[in-house]
Amino acid sequence: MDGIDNQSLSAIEAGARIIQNSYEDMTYLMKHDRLHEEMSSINLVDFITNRVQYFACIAEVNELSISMRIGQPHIPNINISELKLSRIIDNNLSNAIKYSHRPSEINITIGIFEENIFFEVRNHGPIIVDKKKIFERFHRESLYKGGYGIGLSIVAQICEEENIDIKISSTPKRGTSFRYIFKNATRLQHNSSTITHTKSAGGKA
Amino acid sequence: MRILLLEDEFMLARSIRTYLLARGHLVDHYDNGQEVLETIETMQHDFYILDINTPLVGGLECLKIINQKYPLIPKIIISAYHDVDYISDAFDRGCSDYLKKPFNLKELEIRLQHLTAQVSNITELSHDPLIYLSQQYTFNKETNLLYFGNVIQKFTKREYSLIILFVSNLGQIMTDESIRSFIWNGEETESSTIRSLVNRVRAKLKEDLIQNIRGFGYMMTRIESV
Repeated sequence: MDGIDNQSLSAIEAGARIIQNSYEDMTYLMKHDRLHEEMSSINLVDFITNRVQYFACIAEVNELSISMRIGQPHIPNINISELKLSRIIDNNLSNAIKYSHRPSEINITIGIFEENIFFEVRNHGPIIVDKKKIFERFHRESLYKGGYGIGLSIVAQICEEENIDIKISSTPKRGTSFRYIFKNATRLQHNSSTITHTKSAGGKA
Repeated sequence: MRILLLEDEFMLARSIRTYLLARGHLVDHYDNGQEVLETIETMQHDFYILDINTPLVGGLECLKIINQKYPLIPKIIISAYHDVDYISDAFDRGCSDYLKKPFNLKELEIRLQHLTAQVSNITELSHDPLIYLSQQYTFNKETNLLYFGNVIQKFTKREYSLIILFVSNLGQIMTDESIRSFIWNGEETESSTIRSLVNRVRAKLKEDLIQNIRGFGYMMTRIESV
């Protein structure tokens, strides 16, 4: 074991995880219209913590660290398909890692603002040239970095379907941030017991 | 943290001990299960690391008894047994994780950190709604109100959001950027505006709960009673 360079091993592990993310994107693209969607009640903090742990080793190889801050002691669960949520989060983490100056820190914030749950990923790297175009398929901000320009187009598609607002800011001083605001999810949370029940009860009566 | 280690292989025990000590953990090492059983009668540790094949009393036997006594404390089994039966047996008896030998010491540390973080989350959520900030100050997580003694403290809406934010991230540095993200929806806000909000809250607090960490941001910490 001692003979093998630990750093190379970590680099291989990180590489494999990056490829896995691309692979998940492709699978999602091919299958999403055939898969029937399973909504589940998800604790956003736990979910993101878990994804961050997965990406931590890629970040480490790239001399980056990921920090997380939570706005409230208790954040209600959101209703969303786990598959879709992980596409949004994974693509943002992988982009943040890809487009960061090294060494630096990636900051994630999760909280509630004006009744809506949000999460934000902020990193420090080259600023985004065209904030609209980045969501187009095959558009790539840098041709030097690996990638296919698919990740954010999937994210945009999902956000449209799920009524999630995206707010982007990118300035040299404050870096780049992607903020995702879950509009549907919280409202569903508040009303879920009433709306869904009347519907199913109506069918029976 | 104070960690109990049951491991009869001297060299491994020594390297675990040295490694964890360097990361600020005290390790009480035992090379047989009998002594472990005697120790846990009178003393609770913050973490248990147990080998399976140990003299006098086996690690799995110890695990079972420790789990009855301290169900919430994380316990890791370290073992050269790779057999699924052992693994399933260990989880049945209440271990939190199973690490196969040989392992990287860093991996042990990662799992250790992960498990303790999980436990502290669970215990903080499931018990008391009150967070004790100092002898006088408490924060109620359910109502989101700050008390001094038994008196609700008055703040403006924005000041309260800031307090909630600090309470949710005790002992962690909050940068201007993270305060901006939570309180101003991530919008362009002058640093001086943020500073004056923090300073207003600090001025209203009767104790120094929020500290200025120059060059980084602000941090709220508990004031331990003397």
